[in-house]
Amino acid sequence: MNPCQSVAESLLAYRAGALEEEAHEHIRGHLASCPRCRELEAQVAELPAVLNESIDPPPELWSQIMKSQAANKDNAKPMTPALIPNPNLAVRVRQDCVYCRGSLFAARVHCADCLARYHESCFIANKGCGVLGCAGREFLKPQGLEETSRRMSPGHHHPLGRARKPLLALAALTTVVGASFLAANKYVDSLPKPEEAIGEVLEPKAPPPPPPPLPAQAESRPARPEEPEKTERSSAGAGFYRGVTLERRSGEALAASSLRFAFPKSEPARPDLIFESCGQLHLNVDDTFPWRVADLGAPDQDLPMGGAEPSIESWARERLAGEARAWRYRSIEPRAGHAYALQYRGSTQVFYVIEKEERALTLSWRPGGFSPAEDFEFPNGEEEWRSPGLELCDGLHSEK
Amino acid sequence: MMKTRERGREKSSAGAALDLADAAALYRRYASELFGFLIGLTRDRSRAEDALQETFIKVLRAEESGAAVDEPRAWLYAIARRVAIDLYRREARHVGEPLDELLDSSAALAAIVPQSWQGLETAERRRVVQDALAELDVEPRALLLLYAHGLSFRRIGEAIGCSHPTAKKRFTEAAAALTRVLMRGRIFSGGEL
Repeated sequence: MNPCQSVAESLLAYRAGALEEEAHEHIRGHLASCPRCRELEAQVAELPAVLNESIDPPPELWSQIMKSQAANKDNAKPMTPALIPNPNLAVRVRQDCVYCRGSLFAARVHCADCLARYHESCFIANKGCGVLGCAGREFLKPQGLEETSRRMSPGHHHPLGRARKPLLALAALTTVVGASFLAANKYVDSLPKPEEAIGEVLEPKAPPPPPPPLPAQAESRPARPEEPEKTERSSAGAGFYRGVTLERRSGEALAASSLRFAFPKSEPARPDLIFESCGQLHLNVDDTFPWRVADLGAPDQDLPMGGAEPSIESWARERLAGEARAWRYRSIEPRAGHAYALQYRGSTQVFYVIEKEERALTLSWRPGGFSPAEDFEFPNGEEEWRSPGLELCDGLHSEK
Repeated sequence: MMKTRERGREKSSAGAALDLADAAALYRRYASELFGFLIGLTRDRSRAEDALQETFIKVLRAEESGAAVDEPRAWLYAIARRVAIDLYRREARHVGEPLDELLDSSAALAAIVPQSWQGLETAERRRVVQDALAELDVEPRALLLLYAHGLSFRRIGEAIGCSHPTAKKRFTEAAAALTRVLMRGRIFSGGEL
């Protein structure tokens, strides 16, 4: 196959960030040397916006839905969890015991960490929560029962064992089911919602440790292959990076040194920060969703980027919660000693300008980010957002 | 026609679960974008209306069951996609026609006077791309539309019942197929690569 043909077919996936790293780099390399494919890429980049269309349904449709629902109410089966498209997506809690997959009646407890449901005996037998990725060792009992929270003690053994004595387990289960069946409905009705259960019975817990560093989440992308690696991991193990040098773009070449943010990894967009020839930091975004960036000012004391508080990140979080920020959507003036918040959908990352020179910026940032306190909309009331892409700076820095 | 500003707003999964008690609020907030999605998927306004109606009937049933959802927007897209595909296949079975013939003629693409992408107005681009999309099977078509409507690959994976790396892989295949169609129609300048 013509190499251009192969690249062309991958461009939309490339733009979406759906390709493996190796394929992504291959396309990027090809685009740097092939003007025809770059032209095609610009066209492909417009496809998502073209396909994203919102159309008002007929005004009477909602009343039809209500009528249809009322007419079918007697015949319609209530939606069971199985009918909900994906339990992981839609249903906050399982309807059966995570451990034995049996139906849950009165003997229900929740994992204190993820709220998965268990028979109490099953949670004990499993020595904690069995949900993938959850290391919960405590369970919660719904309010009204004699015990509200219980910590698993090391070496605690379930009297039945983990399916080692299946007949005994079956007999015990049958007994429990029989004894509790009559009380089941009343019990289920009286159950608090999981959120309520957390709020009422959870014991105070130590704050979770900071997320482990994710080196792959942000990367310094040198414009020239021979550029020496300038990123250093903090030796303090706090999961932040300092000393990333971002060279200023020069001339008319599209190639630029950029700091690429790629969190969360499932997001299609990978925004790049470019120290543009105009002297401002430009946001180069892969797709049509808006990123925004705000100057949070200079912390009034020397703070580490992350890790033990107070840190620049915790300071930034307070600043964001405090007053309204002047958000910028395309570019922002970098100032030495200032911290900046970069937001996209549900995530915020903080970066800090350590030093600003004529030809380079030195930054630090902490991968991982946190959720913003507020939603944000398209800037200036726009209803469509178009990424500036890799266009050279026009010097106007218009936010429209 | 109304553009919504809700695009791209996926709540963090750590956020509060949405109580489905107010399906009407969900309808007010998401009906327009879902209707656009369903029209793109079915290529037929009346089928899209049926699918939207069926989608919200399922939402009302879920409300009765007391379920709560973490990601209402992604969840609605997942239901709408499933409903549209079911509707589409049910009609194909009853009518006994090949699936593509149920759609507006995808041959329309071939009838387009070859014209560069730059020469097309926004509405023409939309029509051309939707015609190209209609040449794909319904599953990849849904995948591309879910992405275009702003769902992350993780949410797309959840909506179609696979991991997000698999969703990316399927998206890559669907995107390649769409690009091939557009290049074949010489809509994109790469047609002569």
